[in-house]
Amino acid sequence: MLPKISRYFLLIVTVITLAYVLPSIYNTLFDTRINKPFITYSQTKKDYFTYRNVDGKPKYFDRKNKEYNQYEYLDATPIMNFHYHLGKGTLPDSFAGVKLIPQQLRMESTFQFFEPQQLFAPAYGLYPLFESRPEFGLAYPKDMFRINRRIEFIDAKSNTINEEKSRKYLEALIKEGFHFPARIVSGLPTLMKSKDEGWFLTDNQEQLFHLMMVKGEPYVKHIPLPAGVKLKIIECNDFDSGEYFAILISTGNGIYTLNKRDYSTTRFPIDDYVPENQTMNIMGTLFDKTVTLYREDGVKLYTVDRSYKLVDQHEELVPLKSTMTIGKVYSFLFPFQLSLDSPYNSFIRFTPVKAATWSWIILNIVLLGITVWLIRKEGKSLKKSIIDLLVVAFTGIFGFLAVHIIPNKQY
Amino acid sequence: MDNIVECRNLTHYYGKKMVYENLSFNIRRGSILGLLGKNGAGKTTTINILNGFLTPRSGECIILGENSRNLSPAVKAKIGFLIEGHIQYSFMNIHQIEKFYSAFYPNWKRDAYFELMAKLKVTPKQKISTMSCGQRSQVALGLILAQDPELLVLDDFTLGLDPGYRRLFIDYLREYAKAENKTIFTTSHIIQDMERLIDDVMIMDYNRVLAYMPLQNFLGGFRQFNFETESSQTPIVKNGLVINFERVKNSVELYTYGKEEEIKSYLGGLGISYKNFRPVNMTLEDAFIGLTGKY
Amino acid sequence: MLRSIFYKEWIKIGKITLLFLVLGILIIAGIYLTVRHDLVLTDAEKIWDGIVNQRQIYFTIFKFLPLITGLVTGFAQFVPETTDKRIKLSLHLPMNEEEVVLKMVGFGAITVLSVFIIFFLVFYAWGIVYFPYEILKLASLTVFPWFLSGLAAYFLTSFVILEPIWKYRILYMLAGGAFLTLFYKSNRAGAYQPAIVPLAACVLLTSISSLFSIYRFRKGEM
Repeated sequence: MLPKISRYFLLIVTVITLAYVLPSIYNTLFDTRINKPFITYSQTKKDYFTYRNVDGKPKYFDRKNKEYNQYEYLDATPIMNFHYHLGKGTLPDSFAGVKLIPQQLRMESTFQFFEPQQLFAPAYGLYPLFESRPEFGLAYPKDMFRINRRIEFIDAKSNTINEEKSRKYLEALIKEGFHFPARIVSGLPTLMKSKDEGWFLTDNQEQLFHLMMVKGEPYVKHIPLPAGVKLKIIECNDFDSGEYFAILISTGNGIYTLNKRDYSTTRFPIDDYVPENQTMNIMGTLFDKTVTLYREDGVKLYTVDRSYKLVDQHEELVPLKSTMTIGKVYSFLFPFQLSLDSPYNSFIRFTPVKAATWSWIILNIVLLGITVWLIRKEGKSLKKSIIDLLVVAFTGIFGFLAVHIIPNKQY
Repeated sequence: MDNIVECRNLTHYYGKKMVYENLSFNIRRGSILGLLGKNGAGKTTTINILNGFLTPRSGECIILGENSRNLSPAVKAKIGFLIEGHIQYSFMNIHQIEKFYSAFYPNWKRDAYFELMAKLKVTPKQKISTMSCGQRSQVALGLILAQDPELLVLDDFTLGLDPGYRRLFIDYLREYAKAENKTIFTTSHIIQDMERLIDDVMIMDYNRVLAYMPLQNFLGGFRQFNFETESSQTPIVKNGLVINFERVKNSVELYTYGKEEEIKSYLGGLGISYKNFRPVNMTLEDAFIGLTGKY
Repeated sequence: MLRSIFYKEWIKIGKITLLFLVLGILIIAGIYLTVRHDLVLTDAEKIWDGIVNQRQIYFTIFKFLPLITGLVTGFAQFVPETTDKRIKLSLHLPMNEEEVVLKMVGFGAITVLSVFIIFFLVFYAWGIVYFPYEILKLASLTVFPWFLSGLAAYFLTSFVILEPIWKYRILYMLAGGAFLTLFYKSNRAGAYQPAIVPLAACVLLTSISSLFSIYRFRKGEM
């Protein structure tokens, strides 16, 4: 009995292995690149321009699919490509009644990128608290803090807790109404920034706080959130534009700026961003912000003005892999796939992924037929092979290989 | 009759190649049965079936009352098993291996083992793998003697032994078996000295049994006659009378269970002229070759 | 009888186990002596920053040691059992055949596991001298799949070596090798956290695979 069970155990492990390995091999051999189009907004034309590579030459197309060459495109986007026009001396003096100052254009041109693989990744839970107002430039702090049941600063050299500093910050946090432990801790733990703005934290009661060290002393500020909003993601920036500290994403997938001016929040008029499986970038200029959402089946753009009113939007679809030949062959071969790594997070997770179509049923039936034929040919009893047949019927090519790699001899 | 082993209608194939069909034999308690055959005749297959390392296509062996497909620990304890080539755990030395096996057998006869080991010129820490084939055969034998089994199954134990060790092994074994009323089933493809050991003989050729009887009956009944003939043709056929014959130039060797007169009248009936007709005394080895042929 | 089996298995794998134990501890010592050296030469916070924010893993040299330990232990234990079909001796012992094999594999698994536990304790205890708990937690989650792969490698090696027919040995090696790659799919510390339980379950599923090889041997596959 046990040897039979051990064979079925081996079948399970083999099917799991093959369900990961075979699709991986297939993809390694045959995968094609699906280019997500690069689209930009033109303030002057009030239109979106899509970049496409046509016969090795860059071409741009507007919403009516009218073709532009690179020069025409650059001329249509003077704000975004102000560097180019500055160099050529073709930068307009003003646009929409606003005088164009290169310094200001540069400061207000911002770019922020939200990728699921970076948002959902393993984290240590240790954070360096920089001196935000240093006398002689930014320096890496000698300690890191953890913030669980309390806040603790751990000195790196001695690997011991600095009790005095910890107590000072604990008191400051409690005084401002912080409830331990922290849920989200977000900042820019790097020296590659022009200035430090400390950390933004949410506490155990979904309240938002700003934590900094100013001249060695704790600075803690409770930040009011719109009623009912709970945060999921905070992404800080280091823009020269002093507009906002960070982008906040709520549990309802609302996108907010956390404004520097008064710690207020402003919501983008966008409801279909899903951070778990979309990449988002926010490109800002002096006049507007364009939010691009990259989905598996296409690209969606929203352009808002400086007061976050929607001025335009655009959507472009790309062919899904499942509709292309490699995708069709794929779903003919594999009834399902076991994915371990995901483009949407940095964890390794056993995730069964269904095939896009039902065409694998044909192959499963053929393989089932071959298995029955082989069993008959070897003079074995079909009744004793019933589990093998079920394995082949349900797992197709994976099960077919498994039951033959781990042979079912009948004695 | 008290049989320790009863094998009935054993049939086995490797793939499509038949090993044998409907092989039946018994081993009497206290007897020594030798299964003799050339290499590849199915000797090890039989041993494997007996020890439960092979399930035959059909048929069964009952050993000490149990089907060999599923021997209980109690019955396995009563069977001493010598693998072809005296294979043992050669990564151990003689003390380690004794310590290992002794825990498995309640009637372990430590003295019997060390008595035999004392005769070997090996150092206490010497691994079995560094011993000579003859020394290893003694270790394997000593372990079986210490186990004190009712039935000894010995697979081609003469393999690789020099004449001295072979003789030693056989004599020791026979004396032991007869003194302690042990039953032995042994196979061998080397026939020399085998008549000193066995009581019953079974001679096997590819996929059939050529002879299965008490050794004395075989040696007494199986005869060889030599003669010379001038006839250009010898239309002798293998039949019930003539078991085997070979002609080299004008000399003919003829093997039979029949008597001299029967052969002479058979040759007369065929019209074969012969001279110098004489019976030849055979050892077991001669008889074996006579029966199975030289090829 | 159990003690006797353990005695024989220890004769086969004892030396190799101790060798790997010493080798592993030397490697861990090497890892932490390097850390200590770096802490002296550079700023401690730079090293912490490298680990916490730059995704450095300070113990990559340890990566394949558990895997190799499992493989070599399986080899050392079962090659001597199968050369000249010596496994017949074990199966002929007055014991249930499955029980004999399970006890042999069980002893090997306990030995490998003990070595891994010692590795882990040394790795953790020494690490906590230089690093806070958070770093050791993710480091532990990172080495865990490596240890699991070592255990899987041990079970699969036993399974492959005990299999009597070369054709199937090769097929098993291919499938087993592919299975072992599942433990090495990320270079990021802590990435395997959600996969550890399913992987451990898979390793458990392979743990009695030797019984299948022995079953085939006893049915006469040679």
